[in-house]
Parts: sequence; C-alpha cells; structure tokens
Amino acid sequence: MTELNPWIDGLVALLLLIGAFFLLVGALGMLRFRDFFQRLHAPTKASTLGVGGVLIASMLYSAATGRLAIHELLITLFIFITAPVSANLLAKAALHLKLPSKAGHPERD
Amino acid sequence: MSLLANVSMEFLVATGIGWVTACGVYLMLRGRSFPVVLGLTLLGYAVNIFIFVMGRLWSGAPPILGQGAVQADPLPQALVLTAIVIGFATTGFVIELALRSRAEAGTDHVDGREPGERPERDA
Amino acid sequence: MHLPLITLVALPFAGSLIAALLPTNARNAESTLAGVIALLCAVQVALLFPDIAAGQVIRQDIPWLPSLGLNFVLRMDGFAWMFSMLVLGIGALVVLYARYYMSPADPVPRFFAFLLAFMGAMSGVVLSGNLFQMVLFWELTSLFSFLLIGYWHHRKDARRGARMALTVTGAGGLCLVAGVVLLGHIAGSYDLDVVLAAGDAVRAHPLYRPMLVLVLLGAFTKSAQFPFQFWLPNAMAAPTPVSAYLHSATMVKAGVFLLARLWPVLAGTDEWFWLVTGAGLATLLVGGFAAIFQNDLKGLLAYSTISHLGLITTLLGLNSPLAAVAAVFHILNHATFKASLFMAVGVIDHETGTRDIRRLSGLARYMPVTATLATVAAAAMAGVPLLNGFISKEMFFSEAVFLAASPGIDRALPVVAVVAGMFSVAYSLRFTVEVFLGRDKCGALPRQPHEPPRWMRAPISVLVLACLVVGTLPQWSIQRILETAARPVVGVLPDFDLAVWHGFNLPLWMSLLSLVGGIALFFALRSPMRRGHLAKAPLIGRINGKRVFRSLLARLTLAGRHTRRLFGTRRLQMQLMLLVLVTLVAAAVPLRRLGSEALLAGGDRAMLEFSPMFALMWLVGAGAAIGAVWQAKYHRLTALALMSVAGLVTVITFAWFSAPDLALTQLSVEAVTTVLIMLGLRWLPKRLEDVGRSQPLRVRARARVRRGRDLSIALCAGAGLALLSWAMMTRSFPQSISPFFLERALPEGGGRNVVNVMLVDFRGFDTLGEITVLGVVALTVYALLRRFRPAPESAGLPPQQQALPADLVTDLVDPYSDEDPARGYLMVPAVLIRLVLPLAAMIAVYLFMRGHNEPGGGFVAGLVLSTAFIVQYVVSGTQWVEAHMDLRPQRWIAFGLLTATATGLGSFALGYPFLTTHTAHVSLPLIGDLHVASALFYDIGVFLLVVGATLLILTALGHQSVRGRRVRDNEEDERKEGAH
Repeated sequence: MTELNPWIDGLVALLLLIGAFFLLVGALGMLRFRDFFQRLHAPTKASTLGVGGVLIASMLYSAATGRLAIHELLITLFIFITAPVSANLLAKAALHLKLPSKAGHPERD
Repeated sequence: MSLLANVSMEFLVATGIGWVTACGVYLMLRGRSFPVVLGLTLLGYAVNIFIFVMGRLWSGAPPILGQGAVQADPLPQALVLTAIVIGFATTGFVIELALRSRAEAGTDHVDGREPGERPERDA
Repeated sequence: MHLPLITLVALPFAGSLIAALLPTNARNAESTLAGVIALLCAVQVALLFPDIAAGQVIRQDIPWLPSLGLNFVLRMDGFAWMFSMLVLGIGALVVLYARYYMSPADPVPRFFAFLLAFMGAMSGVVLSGNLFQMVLFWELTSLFSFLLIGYWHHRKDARRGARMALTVTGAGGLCLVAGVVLLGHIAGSYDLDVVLAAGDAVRAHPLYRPMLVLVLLGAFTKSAQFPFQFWLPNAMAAPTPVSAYLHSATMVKAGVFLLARLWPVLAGTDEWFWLVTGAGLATLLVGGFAAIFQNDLKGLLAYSTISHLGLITTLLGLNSPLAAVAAVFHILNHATFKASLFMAVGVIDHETGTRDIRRLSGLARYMPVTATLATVAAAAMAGVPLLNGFISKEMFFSEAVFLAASPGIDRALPVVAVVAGMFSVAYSLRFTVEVFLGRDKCGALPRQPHEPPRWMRAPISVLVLACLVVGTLPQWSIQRILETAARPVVGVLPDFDLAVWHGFNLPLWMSLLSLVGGIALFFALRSPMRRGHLAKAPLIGRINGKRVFRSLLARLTLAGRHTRRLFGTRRLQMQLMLLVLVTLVAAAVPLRRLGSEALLAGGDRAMLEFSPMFALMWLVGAGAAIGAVWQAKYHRLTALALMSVAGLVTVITFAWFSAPDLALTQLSVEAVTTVLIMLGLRWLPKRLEDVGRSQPLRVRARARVRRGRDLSIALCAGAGLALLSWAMMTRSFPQSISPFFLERALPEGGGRNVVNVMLVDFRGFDTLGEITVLGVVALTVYALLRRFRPAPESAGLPPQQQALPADLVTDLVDPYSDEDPARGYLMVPAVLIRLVLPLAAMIAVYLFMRGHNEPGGGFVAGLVLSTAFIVQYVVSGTQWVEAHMDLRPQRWIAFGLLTATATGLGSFALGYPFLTTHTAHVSLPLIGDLHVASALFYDIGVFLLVVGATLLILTALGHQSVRGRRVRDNEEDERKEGAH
C-alpha cells in the first residue's frame, strides 16, 4: 500500500463503503422481496450506485497513484446500456405471463 | 486463522479443479441430453484449468516480454488457448447431436429410448 | 540392352490404371492395350534368356528406406524366368481370347483393369527378391482374384465364390506372413539370396516346425490342396478367361511356386516329406476322384486342376532332386494344357450356351477344329504318349517307383500313382467322349453351335501346338529351358533324360496300366451316369465343402455377437459410465503404486500466498457448479446461468495466474457458449417436476440408487484429479522447452506476447491443424442441421406464447415476420446493439493488431467480432438480419484457411520451409515505424476462420426456428385442409 494523501485515502474508503452498502441493499432486496416486480428493481440499486461507487473509488485510487485510468467509465457505460434493457424485457415477459403481483394487473396491455 | 494459513492458492485451485470435475462427471452420467451437455462443458473448464496449472502457478508474471522480470510458462497456455476454442466447437456439435437424437428418437434420453422400453433388434 | 526388371511389374499396373479410364464398351482398345503390354513384357523376358541360361541372376535394387535397410528388390533367376514367361505369355493369349469371349454387355474396363493389375501382382510375386515384398504381392493376387471372380457381381454364386476364395486365401496369407517373419528371423534377413543360402541353418533351427507349418498353410490355401481345396470349384463362377488365367495357370500355381522357391531352404527333412507329400497325395486322389463325377465342364476341369496341383505338390515333397525337376516340368506342362482346355470350355459355353455334360453331345460335327484341339489337350491331361503330359507323368511314375523311403510308402506310392493316373484318364475321356462324340443332341441346346471366330481359337491352337512340340521333341524344345528353370530349385542338376522313349521299363508299364484301367473305369461308369445315378461322387460327394465353410463362418459370427451382447451395451449412459470407470481404474493403478501419501505431502516448490478474495471467488464458483448440478434436470435455464458463473470464475482464475490471453479467450467463449446452449435448449422437451415426483416408488428408489452410484464415481474422479493437480503444482518443474520460446520470441518471432508468437509462428503448423478442425466441426454441424426438421411437438410456439389468447392486441413482436423488429419496446435494445456492431469491430481489430505484443490475437478478436454478429441475430431475429447482411460464414471459413495456408506456402516460394516467418520493418509517413511480421497474415486467416466457424454453428442452430415455423405452418395448413 503506497502512501496516499490522507484526504484521498478517506475519500476512496468512503466511496468503497457507499458502494458496498448499496450492493448489500440490492442483494438483500433480491432475497427479501416476495413479488417479482419488486424483486426486479432491487438489483438496479446495486448496479448503479453500488458498482458506480466502487468504480469511482478505483479511478480515484489509480489517479492518485499516478496511473490515470478511465476505462472504468466504459464499464459504467456498458452497464447503463445493458441493465435497463434487460430489466425492461424481463418486465415485459412477466406482464404477459401475468405473474402474480401485489399491484394487480393492468386491464389492457 | 491457523487453518487458513495452511491453505494456499495451490490447495484452493486443486480443490476447485476437483470440485468442478466432480460436478461435470456427475452431470455427464445423467440420462438426459441437456445435463450431459452441461457436464461436458463443466468438465471442459476443469480440464482446461488442469492443463494450464501444469505450468505451475505464477502470480503477476504474464508471458509478455518486457512486463516484469519473470514470465510464466507459455507452453501450457498456448495449448489451452486452442483447446478452449475447439471445446466450444465440439459443444456445438454435441448440442446438434442432442437435437437430432431428440427429433429422430422422440425422446431426449441419451440412450435413444426411454428407460423401460424394449431395445431395437440387434443389427 | 534390356529394360530394367521393374518395368515387368510396373507396366501392367500402369496399364491397369489406363484401362480403368477407357469407356465401357471399348473392347478393342482395352484388349489391344492389355495385349500389347503383356506381349512387350513377355518379349522382354524372352530376350533375357541367354543371360539367365548362362547362370546369371539379374537383380535390381530400388532403395526405399535406406536407413532401415528396406529396398524394393527384384530378382530373376532361371525359375523366376520360367514363371514370368508363363504369366506373361499365357496372359497375352488370354487377353486375345477374352476380347472375343466378353459379350458387349459386360463392362470391359473393369475386367481388363483387374486382369492387368493381377498380371502385375503375379509378376511381383515371381520376381520379388525380398520375402516380405513377395507376401505383399501374394496378398495383392488374392485381392485381384477376388475382384475378378466377383466380376459378374449380380450373380449370387459369383459373390459367394469370390468371398470364399478371399477368405481362404486371405487366411492363408496371414499364416504366410507369420511364417515369413519366422523364416526371416531364423535366416537373419528377409532378402531372398540370404535366405536361399541359409538352408542348413534353417532346417536345424528349433523354430523350423512351426515356421514350416505356417508357410505350408499359406502355400496350401493358395494352391487348393487338401483340406482347403473347396474354394477352387466355387471360383468357377468367374468368366472363363479368368479361370483359364488365374485358376489354372498362374494364381493357384503361386503356392507351388513358393514351395519350389523355398525348396532349397525347407526341403529335405522328414516333416517336409510327411506334410507335403501327404497333402499332395490326398489332393491328388480326392481331386481326381471328384472330377470324374462332375457334371459341369468347368467343375471337372477345376477338380482336375486340384488333382494336378496335388501331383506337383507330391513331387516337391518327395525330397528328391529329380522329383523336383519333374515338378517344375509339370508346372509348365499343366499350365499349357489346362489353360487351353479352359479356353475350349469357354468356347463351348460361348457357342452353345451351356456347360452341362449331360446336355452336350456330338459337338464334333459342328466345331471340328475346336474338338480336335480340345481332344489333344485332354489327351495331354491324361498322359497319352507323344504329348507333354506323358513325359512329366513318366517322370512322376519313375520317381514313385525308385523312391527310397519307409517300406509302407515304398509300396503304396506306385499304387497311388497308378490309381491317380486311372482317374485322370477317366475324366479326360469323359470330357472328350461325352461332349464331342456320340449322338447329336444339339437341337436341345440354347444356341446353335458353330466354330468360334478364328482369333478366338488361335490361343488354344498355340497352346496345343506347344503341347505337341514338347511332347514329340522334348530334348530339342524344352530341355534347356527346364535345366535353366530347375537349377535354382535343386542346386545341382541331377542327370535326367527327356527322351520320349526310355525302353520297356516299369514306369512305361505303369502308364499303360493306368491308360487301360482308366478306359475301363470310364466305360464302367458311363451307363450309370447316363442314367442319372452317381450324380454326385460316392463317399466324398456328401461332404459339401461350401456348406461346411459357410456354417463355420456363421458360427463364428454368432459367437462374436453373443460375446458382444455379454460384455457390451448399446446404452450410451452405460457406455459413458464404463468409460469413466475404466479411466478411474487406469489412473488409480499407478497411484496405488506411488502411494497417495507421498503425493499428498506436497513438494518443495514455494507456494503462493493465500488470498481471501480468491477464496471467496472459489466459493462462488464451487457453489455455482453445485447449483448447476442440482438444477440441471428441471430448471435448465437456471442451470445454464449457474454454469456460466462457473465459467466466469475460470476466467478470473486464468487472469489471476498470469494468463491474460486465456482469460480473454475464455470470456468470449463463455458468452458464445451460453447463447449456443440456449439455442439448443429451445428444442428440448419440457421437464416437469411434478411428473417426476408422481412416478411409482420403486422407480424413484432405483433412480436414487443410480444417482448415488454416479455421485460416488464423480467424487472419486474429482478427488483423483484434485490430488494429481495438487501433487503437480507443489513440485517445481524445470521448464523444458519454454525457455527456448521465451528467449527467441522477440528476436526471431518479432513479438513480445510469447503465447501468441508460439501460436502463429513457432507452433504455426499445430494451429493450422486446429483451425482446420474448427472449420470441419462447424461445417459438420451446419451440414447435419441443414435438412433437419425439428421434432413436431417442439416446432410449435413456445408454451409462453401459446398461453396468450389469440385475439390479444399486443405490442409483442411477431418473431416470424420480416419487418424490422426494432419497434415498440425492442427499439432501445436494437438501436444500441446496432450501434455496438461497428464499435465491436473496432475493438476486434484493435485486439487483433496488438496481439503480437500484448494480450490479444486472432482467436480473441475473431470471437469478439462473431459475438457482435450473434447479438444482432438475438435482437433482430434471423430473418431480418439475413435479409440485410449476407454473411455466408462458409466463405469466411474458406478464406481463413486459404489465407493461413497461403501465408505458409509463401515462404516456400522464397525457398524456405513451410510457415517460416519474416519480420519486415516498414516506416510509414504519419504513423512512424512499424514492425510487421508475416505471421500477421497468418493471424488474419485464424481470425477469419474463427468468425466463420462460430457464426456457422450458431446460425445453423438459429435457422431451426425458421424451419420450425415452416413445419408449424404446414401442419396448420394440413389441418385446415383436413377439416374441410
């Protein structure tokens, strides 16, 4: 572990903790929710704030140790492309299969 | 923690290989074609790792000249690379066989007939 | 001078190839070609006579594998000279005869091609100077005889006869191989000169007896000696020219040729006497006796051939030089008259349409010249004086009388000889008198007989003339040839006199006795046979050799099938289990010997530090694998997803332990494999968990036992592999050839990524093979799925779509329409994915270009690009994509292979070995210095092929959906029509 400015060190740690927290929240949501549509939106927390926090921490750390790396941004970009699309398709399929939902089903599709 | 101190990376990798092999072999011995396909693929992963670690485990020593003082053994890596790609092709082939067997025999059992049915006459 | 000996063998084979290519009814061209070749070779051999007669042995060595001492040796001494003349001379005559015999409906190229090939093979047997080489040509003669016997393959007797001949002579050939191996081992070399000089050493060796038995088995099966004589009469289903050439003059003589050739080495012992003379005498009697009662002319001649071969064998077995000379003489004589007799029978068959003696009579009126010729030849066969058969019979009789052996044999042999002589007179009389003389029954024949064409009769005339000349003027015509031929066999020639008249001695009385006795026998049997009794030979007629043979074969096949059913299984599940079990046992045996404790203790290599992150990842991977196993039966999509998690863990393992290239490849393969298995999953039947649970208890208990057994096998396999990898990883290993690659990658290969340099440069030939395999597998998958109709119940819509009411207004995209599916909710993914395609292509090219110096390369780049294409298919559907992008993956595969091979061949053009690379240093204006290795183009080939192969496999599976829809549509249409 190289010597870092204590401010940078603390910021990186804070971002990691935030990211880990949202990942935990997302995982807990997946386990605890009993309705498919509720379960569907739990991982979105994990994949945005959770992964985002970890990635920003990683970029900050590498910038501080001298190797500026911005390809973590690409990872975020790809996640932003794929996660909403897959969620949309899953919801569409669930609607058509008329999976049980606490909110009830719309009459017309 | 003392128990963990005895556990090294080699131990983890070896048990990992054994575990995945066991899963792959178990699936391969099943009677339906889909588990057999999965089992073959899992077995393929385990064997690829097995051949790869024959070059022994190296940390932080990729076989690229100019990055670091030591390089890992490149020979098993070259062997496994083509093995991975050909393994994929043969997975495709096995799936195709499963499909045709399903269509022609009417069942997805690997024997070509449901258990309990009479076999065809010996040719 | 003269042409080298190799032409005598090579020219007929070359002629055979040319003959096979000529059109079907070019009888003249074919026979001219064959005749010219045969005559040319015969003249060649004849021109060699002065040298051979002077005692020279002409030898030609063609080096083949000099380091192993294996040469192709051709050797002609007097005996081989005589046999070559026989093979080539009679071959030329048979070709002329066959030109007229073969009907216009017969496919002539096949016939002459096989005949010429046989001629070449027989010359090879006769001229070989190396025992193994001789055996090779021996087997070739068996093969071509099989093909020629089965020439009229629409006839069942021809097929059966050919099969029987091949089985018997082939089995004999196997024994001969074993015998020759032993002989070469005893004599110290397989070269014929060495073997012939090692006679005493061979006879005194302890392995002499088994070797003798094996060699004799080979010779006896070929020459149809007792008890193997049954195949020759069944081979008479061949066309008559084939019978005249192969089964009287040349192929069956190969066995006695071998006996005579090896006479200096093997003969002289008691074993030889008893075995060879015993078999010969038995054959002599059995053949002669059976010949009398045959009703088919060719059958009569076949048994007569068997009998005469027995005679030759007996002479060779008598351990007397004079008898051996008589044997050589009789080989010559028998070939001459028997070939002419067969040809005469062929003429009769051709002209009258039948070969049955009972139906033929009085033919002399219609074909007087042929009748005369045939009668003379038959008289030679019987041993009538003034013909060649008489002289060799006399020599036989005198040997039988003057033999000094054990008292029983002393008395018995002359008696047997006389009896055999009587038999031969009897059947020769039957041949001539019954067919040519007697009442005119020609009205009842299928065809009206008349004389054959002049050129068809010419070969018979030539041969009969030879019989006459040799018979009347032996000393002038044949003495010198016989001496030349017999000298290599016996070594020192005994004194013998070929005069026709030796005075009133015992052999002459024996000849007269057999003549008279034979005539009496014939007339005694004539009336009963005319009346229909004695249709089969008494005593031995009951034993049907063909039936015995076939029942033996049937029993062998049944035993084999029984054993297979006992020890094998047709169930794949069982076979897989046996496979795994056998592997376990094979691996456990050395483990037991080494001791698992030693392996478990670990070696002395410094181990890597423990990393908790890796341990966590390990847990995830193991859990995913277990989950996949658990869910595989009923929740298959889940199992697939879990398996890809296991795959991703292997990616991280590769990356962790310094294999970036492998990690990249595994990652891209992972993605494609998942899509692949999902495509396949679509077509499998639904597995319902409650159906499984509702099965009777007994079935479930048995399933549980089976699962327990499989589990234990799997755990053993896993434990074994884990133990092995642990043992290997903990021991240090001097990197055997890797330092070579590591040192030379940059200076010689021009790249810093050693793995990539190895793949496309150092081990480029391996990679060529591997991408070929890839292409082949992809093409196989494509070919096997091309005309494939999926199962009808899977061809319907998936149950999820079936669950919808038919009149539902929905924005669900119809997967089978041709419109752009990027509508409604699919617009976002479609647009994004379509934007990704050029991006992915750029990334693929980037990975490709940097592969030589950084992780990347052709394989990874190809997989990335094909993934981009596959994703288009996933989002937009097969039909839309193919309507807009004509991908044609087969062409990618072809171009890939071409590029890779052309790169390799390019180095040929510059004088270097295949796949030598060259690094060029190019300096471009804006970009700067570039180091371009020619392996770049090789990698382009790899890249193209990987894209093509991946696309082909996946699109082949994807097209099933399109076909499924067509099946469904057809079924709906049929149902609608049926309802009307």
